[in-house]
Amino acid sequence: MLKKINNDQWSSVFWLFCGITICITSIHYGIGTLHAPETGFVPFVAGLAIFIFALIGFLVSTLRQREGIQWRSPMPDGSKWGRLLLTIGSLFAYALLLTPIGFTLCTAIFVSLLLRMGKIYQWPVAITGGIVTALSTYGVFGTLLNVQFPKGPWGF
Amino acid sequence: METLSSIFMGLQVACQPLNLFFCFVGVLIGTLIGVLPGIGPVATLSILLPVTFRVPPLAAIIMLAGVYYGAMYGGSTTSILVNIPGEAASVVTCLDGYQMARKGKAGPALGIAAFGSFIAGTIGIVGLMLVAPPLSQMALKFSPVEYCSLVILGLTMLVFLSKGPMWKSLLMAAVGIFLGCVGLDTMVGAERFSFGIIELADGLGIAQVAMGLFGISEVLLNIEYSMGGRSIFETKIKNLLPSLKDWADSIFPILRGTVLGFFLGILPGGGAVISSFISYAVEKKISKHSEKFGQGAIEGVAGPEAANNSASAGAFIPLLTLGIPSNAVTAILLGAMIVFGMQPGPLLIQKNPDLFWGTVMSMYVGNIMLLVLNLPLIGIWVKILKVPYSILFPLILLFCLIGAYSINNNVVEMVIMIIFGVIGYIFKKFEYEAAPLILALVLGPMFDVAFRRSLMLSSGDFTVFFTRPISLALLGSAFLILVFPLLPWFKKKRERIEKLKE
Repeated sequence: MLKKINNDQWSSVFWLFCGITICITSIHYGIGTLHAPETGFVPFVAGLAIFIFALIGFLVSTLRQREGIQWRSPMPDGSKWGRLLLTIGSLFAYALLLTPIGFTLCTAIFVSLLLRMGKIYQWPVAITGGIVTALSTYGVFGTLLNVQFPKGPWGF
Repeated sequence: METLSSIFMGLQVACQPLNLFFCFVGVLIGTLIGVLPGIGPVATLSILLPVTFRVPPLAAIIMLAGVYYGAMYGGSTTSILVNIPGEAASVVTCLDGYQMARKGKAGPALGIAAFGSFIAGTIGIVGLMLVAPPLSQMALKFSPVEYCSLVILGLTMLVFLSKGPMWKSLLMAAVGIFLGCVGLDTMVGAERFSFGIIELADGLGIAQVAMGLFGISEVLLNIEYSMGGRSIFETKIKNLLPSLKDWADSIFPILRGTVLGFFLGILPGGGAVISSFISYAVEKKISKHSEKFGQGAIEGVAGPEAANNSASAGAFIPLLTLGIPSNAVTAILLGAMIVFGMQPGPLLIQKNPDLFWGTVMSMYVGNIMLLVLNLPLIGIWVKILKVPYSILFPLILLFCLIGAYSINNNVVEMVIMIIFGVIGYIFKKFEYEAAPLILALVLGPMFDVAFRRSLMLSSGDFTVFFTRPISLALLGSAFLILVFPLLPWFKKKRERIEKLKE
């Protein structure tokens, strides 16, 4: 049954909930009146618009479902799930580790990991690439453009 | 006479060594990202935006503008040599450009693309100089009511030109308006939807959101598949200067493309992509040998390349005179100007004439630089194309991370960007376009204030939007845009353009 629900139906249901949540939260901030609209007025209008367009989307996609448009996997065959998740994980890890371990080390690890990920380069090449990238970006952004990067406990 | 002296003043500003240098850097980066598939001008501008905070404001705007129109030049190289468009506006150049290359005519194809772009860019800038000052005079009469209607027209137009179902684009625009309201309400000083996060008190940063939605998400989408090198069609590039016959075949398509692109560029929501497609469709329609289109017709390269370049000049008109960006790229430029403390709009020419005329004239200088860059350096661009994506993507991600961090030296900004990157990836998977969202995000705060002020001034009377002539005309146009797709004739035309895009 759930497999018959198509992509647009799923996404429009999500947006319906978003629209309702935005409207309720906007009322909490105060929407005022037409004579004197308050701070939540425009977000409320935006939330209402999201709800209405999502409802239209749901109706349209339901009609298309009846015409035979069903769920299509957003990840087609041959997609590299692991690579995708590892990249997203690396991005969050970079943000979390930047302050504790410092820009240079964090960047060297991040770039090495991503270079190795495609399994095109061996570890020594990936690590060298990571170190060179970290040092050169520090040179350009940290020294030339004066961006204040975190230094970490070892001073770099 | 006054315009002439302004032009000279602008030329003087543009030719200052610092501005010349940043103009060169801008067009060089623009050409580079135009050449490289997988990163477009929107992502690049977003990445560069935080870096420019350390540069004088005028030089920064000149550089960012250079990236935009430089990308239009560079995009044609990959389309012709690899059949991969460097950016969306060059998609249509693949059709005939690549076929020309296969027939040993890569040189004339690249040459006419560069010359066509130069001619169109130059005429476009002249148009910008002529149209912008009177338009900004007219815009001085705008009240919040007109601004509100103008924002609605801009969003409607972009929604109309976006890919896919209209409800999705309208929904994205509504989400953008909502996100634009996050943070401090400037009218009453109250915080909204920031949930105690200090970094959200000033609102969502345009750079972080754009880098996430366009930069990170594009990388995530690309790495799902193979990351090997690209195969480049091996051909000797000779005779870059087009022959007299090439010129005779191309000159009218270039001129038609220039006019078409310029006016489509002015329209809110219009721009380089749509103008290149329409130019191609027009050339094919009026050609006496339309069967040659798709087989290597030089008109199919000259027209669209001219159109996308003059559109990028035209897109500056609503930005500089009304303060309304007409597409995602100019939305980021607007964000940059606001960060630099300038307010693009009708008063810009009066208050910051050096900025306005300096930017305009730098575009002219930049066009000459691009012509010089593009023809002799084509060999280098081809070599750059061979850099595998497995090397490029860590660098793109790293530049995004550094860019987000350097805005306020804050890790939270990075996290916001990564979250929007993942959201952008999901949007792409479910076929939601991010462009209406980013435009609405930039226009959101302006819409919020203008809409509420309009209602306050009219004591809650909605008819104020229909009783003022300019507002009525703007809303009437927006209504027609929404109704047009329902007409069978128009539906058929749109389907044809969609088919061409695919």
